[in-house]
Amino acid sequence: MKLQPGVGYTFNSSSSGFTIDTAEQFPDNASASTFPFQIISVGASGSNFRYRVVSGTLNNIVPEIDDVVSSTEVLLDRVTSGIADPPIGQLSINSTTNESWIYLRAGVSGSTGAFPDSDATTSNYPKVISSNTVLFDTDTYGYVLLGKFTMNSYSAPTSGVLNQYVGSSLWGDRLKTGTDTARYYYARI
Amino acid sequence: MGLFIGEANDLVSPSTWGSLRSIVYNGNITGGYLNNIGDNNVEYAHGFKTVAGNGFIRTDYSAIYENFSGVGSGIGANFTAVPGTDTPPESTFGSYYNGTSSGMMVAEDRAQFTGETAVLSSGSITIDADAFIAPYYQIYGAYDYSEAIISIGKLTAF
Repeated sequence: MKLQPGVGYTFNSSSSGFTIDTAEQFPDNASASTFPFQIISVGASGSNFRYRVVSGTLNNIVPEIDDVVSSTEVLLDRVTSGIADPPIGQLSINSTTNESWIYLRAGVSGSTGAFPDSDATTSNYPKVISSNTVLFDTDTYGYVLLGKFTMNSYSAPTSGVLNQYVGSSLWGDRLKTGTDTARYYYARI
Repeated sequence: MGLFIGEANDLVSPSTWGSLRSIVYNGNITGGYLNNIGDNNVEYAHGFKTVAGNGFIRTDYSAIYENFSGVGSGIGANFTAVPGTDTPPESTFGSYYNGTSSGMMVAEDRAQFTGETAVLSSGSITIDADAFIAPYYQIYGAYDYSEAIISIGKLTAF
């Protein structure tokens, strides 16, 4: 008979025999691992549907999201009393298609010209938003589509399909030629 | 500590897509050539672009968006048409560079521009290799006191 290590236990062997080590009986579930900007369904809340987004960075900046619980803009990597306390967003759903687009929005700083704006007190600071329409880049904002929900209902959503389109933190440049609308170029990091 | 890429004031840092490339400037337009610039952001006041709004090229002097060569000061890769004499009509067309003999465009780009048609206010010319060779550049037989470059190949002035 041969004994092999398994989930939750290992063996420590010596010349006098072996012992079973059960110090980690309940290791982290590998399937629960996440990635930057991963969108996670939280569930229905009244006539609304909530979601959250795993923290990531745009040009080394952690974006914010409108936290529906506190009604404030909160960093995606919020920690409260030493414990991860990710903010919760609320979907804005298209009344015809039941779709909701999740974007990472960022703009250029009016004071330094930097993209994105690192001043969290301005609207140009990177922010995750839910939109009930498709959004297009403007001189003010660049939009990266992180994912899209297609819900079972507009007025009383309880479930839906989530498609994820971004899987890493990003680095971006903003370039504008003459009077053309600014263009935004992103690279995954 | 890692380097922050794409920062406007750091000529030695590694760079992202935007800072590896530059617009081709229009040397016939005076005034500022950048409207706004900051880390990972640049707004070009003038230059040449495609219909799609792009037209960026890679250069050996692409340390940062302004395409500053580090040798002299200047606007980087460019095309400039300079009116010479009215009688006989003669002017020069060239891609100026700063301080070195290798030019502000890589050889591949220079080769692609050679043979393209440059539409000027004084007429059209076919760009030849002389356009990239200082100090005389390309001589062409036309004159317009207020010479302007309308387009170069697929690139249109803006």
